[in-house]
Amino acid sequence: MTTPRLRDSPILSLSLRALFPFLVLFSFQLFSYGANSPGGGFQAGVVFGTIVVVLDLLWDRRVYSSRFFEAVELAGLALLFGLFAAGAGRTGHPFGGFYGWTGRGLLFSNVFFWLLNLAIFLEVAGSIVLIFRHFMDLDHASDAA
Amino acid sequence: MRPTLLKACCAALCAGAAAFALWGAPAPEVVEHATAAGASDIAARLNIRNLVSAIYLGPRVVDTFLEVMVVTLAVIGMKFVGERR
Repeated sequence: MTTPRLRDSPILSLSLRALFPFLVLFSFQLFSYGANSPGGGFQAGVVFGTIVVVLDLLWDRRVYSSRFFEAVELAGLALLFGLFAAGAGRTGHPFGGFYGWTGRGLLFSNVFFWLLNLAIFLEVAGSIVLIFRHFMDLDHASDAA
Repeated sequence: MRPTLLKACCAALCAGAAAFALWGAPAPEVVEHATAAGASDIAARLNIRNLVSAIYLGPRVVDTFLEVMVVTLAVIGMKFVGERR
């Protein structure tokens, strides 16, 4: 008799499949409004990365390719380093000089904060998934050996 | 990414960070905001409401930047370990 596996559960599969778009939206909301409500880029990235990792485990296949997440991570890093360098070039201090870039409404009350949160979100979301997948690859390699 | 290229990128990144730390711009003037009112002033000036964000993306933004770099280094480390195997 085989032991039932968690990934065979139709309840889990159906509920996570239904929750996926809402969790992605929730992560977008967390980083978008991070300057004005609880949340921020780091938390949003962890939420997004975690749901992808859980779906990877549940479906036993990769939801999006690792190359996609490498691109996401690189985009986050490029934005972060761009803001770092732009601030350093403008005022001599990393990230300096753009804090007064404020707008209207809650979403863009401070455009610079929104950009920082976006960069951190992209970087963390990509990293969480890639770190997990590297662990999984190592596990599969050791199983095969 | 090839290991040699990855190592070269990491070395360039570390060298750039070290050069910036050693010969970069002079340290900014230290302004103490030890009280909640100080944090509240910063948030009001930045036009945001979340005091935590006001601190970690405001005066402590370089800390946040380095924390994100830790995550990046973890990914690079995992890549190295995977390639060695």
